[in-house]
Amino acid sequence: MVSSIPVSAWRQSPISRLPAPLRRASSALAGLFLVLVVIAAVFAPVLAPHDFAKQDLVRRLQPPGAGHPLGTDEFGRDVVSRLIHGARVSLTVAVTVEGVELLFGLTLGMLAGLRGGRLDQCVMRFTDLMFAFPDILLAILITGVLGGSGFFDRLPGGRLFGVLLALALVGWPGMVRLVRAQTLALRDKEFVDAARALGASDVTIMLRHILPNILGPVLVAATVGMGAIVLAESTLSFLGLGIQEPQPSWGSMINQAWKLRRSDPFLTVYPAALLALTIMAFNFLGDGLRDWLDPRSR
Amino acid sequence: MLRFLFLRGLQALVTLWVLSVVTFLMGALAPGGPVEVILGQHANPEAARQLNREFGLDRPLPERYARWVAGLCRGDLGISFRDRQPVGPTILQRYPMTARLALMAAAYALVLGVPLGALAAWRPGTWLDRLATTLALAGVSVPAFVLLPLLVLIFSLRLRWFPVTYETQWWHLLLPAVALGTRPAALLARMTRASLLDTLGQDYVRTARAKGLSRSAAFFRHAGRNALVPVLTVLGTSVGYMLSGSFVVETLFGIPGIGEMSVAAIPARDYPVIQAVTLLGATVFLIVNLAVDLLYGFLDPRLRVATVAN
Repeated sequence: MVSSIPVSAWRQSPISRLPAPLRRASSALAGLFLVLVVIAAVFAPVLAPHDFAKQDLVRRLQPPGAGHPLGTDEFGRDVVSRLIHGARVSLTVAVTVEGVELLFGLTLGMLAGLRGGRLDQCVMRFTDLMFAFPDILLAILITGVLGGSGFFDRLPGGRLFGVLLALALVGWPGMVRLVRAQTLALRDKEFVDAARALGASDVTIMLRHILPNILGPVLVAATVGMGAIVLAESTLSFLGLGIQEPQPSWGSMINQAWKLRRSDPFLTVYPAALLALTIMAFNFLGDGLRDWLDPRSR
Repeated sequence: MLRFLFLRGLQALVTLWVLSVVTFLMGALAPGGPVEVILGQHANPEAARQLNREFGLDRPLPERYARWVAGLCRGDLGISFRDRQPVGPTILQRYPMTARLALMAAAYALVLGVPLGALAAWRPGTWLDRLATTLALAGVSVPAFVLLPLLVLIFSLRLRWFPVTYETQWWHLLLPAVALGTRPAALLARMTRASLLDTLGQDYVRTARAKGLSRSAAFFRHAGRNALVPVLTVLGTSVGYMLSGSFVVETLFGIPGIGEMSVAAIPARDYPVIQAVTLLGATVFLIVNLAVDLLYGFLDPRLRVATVAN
């Protein structure tokens, strides 16, 4: 995007003191919103006014009021507390899965790109195969069949572990492709040749020379990817395949509230709006990052 | 071109085979089966053995896989654990609803997305461009199962223009189609803008302009055609999104399609249904993307050579 503001104007404004990716209003708002979500997730037990699982059947479906700022759900549980703990679930899944994707994506992608040959062939054919399959359908199959059989209930973390496993499994090929393509573009650059001539090992070249140069696009992809993971987790939970009761997830909250759409529509609106805003925030932040890292794309 | 066709077809077949193995093993190795579904936990051992024999589950795994695949080739998708009815006819009866929904969503996505992207690329950097790109980025972020509840709350419950759940008329599918098509529309808009701007900067477009071609002619005739290629990809991958999206949208809106059926089959552990739907969905996805690849080669001969060389 070409900025119509003259250079001298923004140089003097206090906005210019912000980190570059946050100078655009949309990215700044997105960043601010995500900071709030992170705070809610980290300090959920402290911030939540009530126990998210405590039922109070006498006070079912209370309207917003004192004690329950957004009212209560069909079991008399505090909606605000459940929304806050839902943020915790979403972010836990997003951060963990993205972490695993980065670990696999960076190692395999850089290795395949740098070494080429048979390893590269294997990785590429395998990712081709994974791309031929609609992601979320595979995740549904894994969590639906294995989760339904009680397979994950015996493992630490239970169903949460199942969600993490399914999403990490379907998510990493995209990251590998990106890292490999970026590595390929750098492989024959002079600075890599120079490092090799000086006797640097593959590991040194990967960590000292390739990694710093591909970090930008990887960071953008990871930011946008976290939004996609939040969406996938809530889809699984909405279908009853993800986080199980009484633990709240925004997806399962939408599912439960939908039955009451005629009488209490706002029970659906709160988790749906939070979900949309969170995914939007990741996307706008990613977009801001991209513009900052690659001014040509503006 | 023939060689290209053959190679891509072969690749698709191999992929399909691997998918069939994965889908089969997933259902075959997971605990639970018709005994648990029909007879419950404390079944009479003799009745259980007989039921397993009826479903052919007493045979070794390779034989079961061979039988399953042979059945698939004949169009036999297996027998549902729950009602002991063949899965194929049920799917056949339900798929028109899902197909109608998906086609409406795709049409809406194309009609909204491509012009929006072209509009943004026509005057890059203006307020119009900024509005279009912001809208598109917001649209990418709103998944179907968040958008549909909000649409229903506004247009069905408040304004009462639409029913709250699907009844019988085709236009009842409008809200779910919009919900399902918004993300693909936004993706299309982003891709159209990016690829138009990319091709507009190419030498051949500049040459055409230098020879006196008007801006609009260069934009539509020269840039437009090549910009279509990446746009097709988005359409292909959107099919995957719409498949999974139809799961939630059909469930939310009570549409009697394949998605709704699958969602009901999952907690019931009706593996034959889950397997059939997964494999069918993957096949549709595969065919659409194969078609996109072939169209690619048709639109841009350079890509044909690149694929064969690989």
